This record gives sequence, structure tokens and C-alpha cells, in this order.
Amino acid sequence: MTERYKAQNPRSWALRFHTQTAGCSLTAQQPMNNVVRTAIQALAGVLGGTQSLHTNSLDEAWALPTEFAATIALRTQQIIAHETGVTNTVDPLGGSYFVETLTNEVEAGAWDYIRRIDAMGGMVPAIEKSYPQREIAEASYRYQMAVDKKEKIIVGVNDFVTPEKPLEILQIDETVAHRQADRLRKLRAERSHAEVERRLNALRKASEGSENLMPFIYDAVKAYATLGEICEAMRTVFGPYEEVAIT
Amino acid sequence: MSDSANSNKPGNSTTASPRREAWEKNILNPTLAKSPERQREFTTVSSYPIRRLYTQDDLAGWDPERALGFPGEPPYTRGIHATMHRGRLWTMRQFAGFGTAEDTNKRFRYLLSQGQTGLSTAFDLPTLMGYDSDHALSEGEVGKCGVAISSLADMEVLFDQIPLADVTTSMTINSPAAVIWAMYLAVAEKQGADWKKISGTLQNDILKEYIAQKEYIYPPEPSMRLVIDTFEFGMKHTPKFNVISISGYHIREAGSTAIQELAFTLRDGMEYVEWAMRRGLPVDEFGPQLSFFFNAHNDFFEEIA
Repeated sequence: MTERYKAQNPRSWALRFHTQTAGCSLTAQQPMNNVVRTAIQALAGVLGGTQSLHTNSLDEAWALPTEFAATIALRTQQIIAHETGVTNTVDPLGGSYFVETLTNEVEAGAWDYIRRIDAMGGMVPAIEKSYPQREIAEASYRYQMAVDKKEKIIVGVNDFVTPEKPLEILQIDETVAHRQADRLRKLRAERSHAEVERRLNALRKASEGSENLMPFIYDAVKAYATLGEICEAMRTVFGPYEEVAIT
Repeated sequence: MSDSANSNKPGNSTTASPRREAWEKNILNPTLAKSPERQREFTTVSSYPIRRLYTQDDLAGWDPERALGFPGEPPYTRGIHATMHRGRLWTMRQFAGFGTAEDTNKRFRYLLSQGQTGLSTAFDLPTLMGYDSDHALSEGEVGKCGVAISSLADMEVLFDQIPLADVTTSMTINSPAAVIWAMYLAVAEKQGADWKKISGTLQNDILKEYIAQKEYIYPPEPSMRLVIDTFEFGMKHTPKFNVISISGYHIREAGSTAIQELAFTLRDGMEYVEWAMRRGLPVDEFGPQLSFFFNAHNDFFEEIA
């Protein structure tokens, strides 16, 4: 921000971030182990200086969290905040030979990618060429190979495997869809049809030009136009997007 | 290749100090001769090679004054606030959302009662794709992976008895972000909350949808226009709201390395800044409203770095 875009306001320079522990690291097998994984990952996020944190629940490899699992996930954060002492000093690992060297190497590696994307004309052209998609697919393949060959151990998945009982998980039944459909029917009957149409037409027309669409979207929302109707109004102008498959 | 030679990768161009050479000769090599290490190569979860030992030699030419500085001042390496977590803890913001708006409102209020300090909303797949709950393509997915929100009426229920003037809310929504945000602002207005004071975060990061998560509706150009429309609207009307959360999380979940997560996310950030500047928005006015979202995976030190 400072060098590339000449931002003057130091608040533009600070990288404020939210952290979420890695969903892809959770295992369906031996789900209680996920409490431990998540605690360590959350600690890394805190030591990395996060402003906001979500800790995954132990059952999220299976379903959305039950209240029980959601509570342990929140308690994990509270234990790190109030019991571990890692908040007692600012940036406790600053100056560590290992952490600082790794930070330098990660930064250098990231700049290397950024320069390659710059050379392609930016991120939108790079995406249209499937460049980041392909790089990620290759890294993901390498990782899976290492797991399959047991070069990387995932406890309870490719080593230390045990027979298990199924976990009790949160069930969402089809009555949710029915209740939602009923509400929408009622909403469509009660609102002013003419007003909704008028505001959706205004949005459609604005989409064809270059005006800021937020005020038009806000107007449509206030008249109780639905999410689907608003997105569809813009879709008729913008069209859909088809991705080029990675070969 | 001998073990000790292997340990000098990657790119370890630093010259070892005489003290280190003596340690390798007198202490390390006899130990390795007696008992070799567990693996030939040690790598992070991203397959990034890790050396045996890191010392001052690795930081030759590294100036702590320049690279680290002090907390609360550029380059913010030691933290973006002077007192960091001594001053204020991070926001404990558990991602929640399932079933109907009533179901999720109940979970929100439960989490707040248990000491959570911010809200984070998970929307179901139809909502993320811009379809109403009664659309044919929504079948089987309503309320399954998040809360179903089809109109302002649902949003009013979702934040019932939750004062938006006091609570900050994060919303994981991308392609239809402008619409969901408009609903949120309408609820805030109805509650009498001042738009100039409310805060929260809209994910609104369409580029990582094309890269990793794949929940897009429109082609990149009009999608980017919508994002910049929200930047401009936010700059004028909601100066405390984070209008975007430029996200590495999903890139990592799609199987990237830590370096790719960082690189692609930062480059996405640059893309948004460049599009906004092309629109004529001053970087210092929208700059402070940009935020980021990273993944914390298993490899402890790699994540801290």
C-alpha cells in the first residue's frame, strides 16, 4: 500500500485480519482429536497477531456444529486468551531466528508469485488463464501423494487408526425448506408487486450503465424484493460465468 | 547426499560462523554418526523444507530495526497495535448459521450469552448462489450448510433482539454480497443504529471464488464492478464497516501451500485496490476499510510466519 499505491494514511498500511483454523485439517476419524488440532492452530493465529478468530468445532468434518461442539470451540479461544499467558506480552516470538527466517522466506516466495501475476497483467487475466487454479491443484496433489505414501502422518487417518462409533451430529431436516417456502409465498402475497417490479426495473436499467448499483439494490431490498429476484435482475444484464476447465 | 548437506537446503547461502562449524564438527556429526535423524528431510505441511537449526547466521544482513520495528508502527511486523492483546483481546467470532433465520438467531444469542464477542454468519448454498429458498435449484440445500436468507424479512428475524449498533457482524457472502449487505443495512436502519458508527465485515471477495471456492454468479468484470460499488458506498456511508475480507482461507482449503495462500490473497488485494483507484476512489479513504482473512493450519511456526 505504501510503495505501490502511495497510501499516506498509516491505517491503510496495517494488515488487519481474521483467522479461522483449518477446516481441511479436521478429520472425520477420531473427531475429539480435532479439539487438540484446533487449539494449536488457534494459538498460531494468536501468536501471529490476529484481530479476530474462529475456532472450528470438533464435528465439522461431519456436519455443522452441535451446540455442545460449538461451545468447546469457543472455550478453546477463552482458554488461550485467559489461561495460557500468551497475551501477556506483545509478539512473544518476535526475533526468533527460526520464525524470522521463515517469515523472510515466506515473504520472498509470495513476492515471487505476485511478480509472475503482475507480468500476466493482474489477477483477473491470471484467473482467466487458470494460473492460480492450476498452481493450487498441483500443490494439493503433491500433499495428497505425501499423505498416501505416509510421508506425512495424519493421526487417526493414515496412522494410529482405530475402529470407531459414529458421532452424534446436527441434522437439518426438510421442514426447513418447507417453512422457508411458506414464508416466501406469504411475503410475495403481502408486498406491493408494482413497487417491487418498479425497483427491479430501475436496478436492471442501472446495471446496463455504469452508475453505482448499491442505492438501487438497497431500494429493491427495502421493498422486499427477494435475493433471487435481485440477483436475477442483474444476471439478465451481466450474464452467467462458465469456467475454463483446468487440463 | 549426507544428512548435514541436506540440512543446508533450501537456499541456505549464509556462511556458517566458526562457532557453528565447531559445533557441527565436535557435537553434531558424532551424534548423527551414532543415531541418524528420524527422517531424511523435514518439511512443513506445505512441503516447505525446514533446516535442522536456525541461528543468527540465517539472519545475516537482517536489520531488526527495519524488519521488525515496534508494535503499532510500520511495518507492523510486531503487531498493528502498540499493546496488541494486552490492550484488547481479539474478537471471538464463531462462524454460525443453519436452518431458518429463527434457528440461527437462537444460536447467535446463545453464543453471545457464552462470552462470544462478535457474530459471524454462515449462509446456505442457495443464498450464496443468489437463489431463493423456493427456487428449483435450491432443493435439498435449504438451511443445510448455513442459514437460508431470501429477503429482508428473513434478515429482520436473523438479527431480532441483537443490537447492530453494539455487535459487529461478519457475513460470509460473496457474489450476492451487495444484496445481503443492503438487507443488513436496512435492519440496522430499522433498529435506529447509526450507519456511520456500525461495524462489521462483508467477505465480498469474488476473486477467490474464481480461484478456489467457485461460488460465483456473474463474469469477473461485472462482479468486480459490484465489489467496487460496495467500496464506494461504504466509504461514503459506513466508514467503520470492513467492506471486504480478502480471503486466503478458501485458497488454502482448496489445497494450496501457505506461500500460495499469502501470495494469491495479497495479489487479490492489489487487484481490488487497482480497480478502486481506476474508479477514482482515493486509496487512503477506502484503504482502512479493507481487511484480510487467513487460515491457521497444522504447522505451528509456518502459520505464525
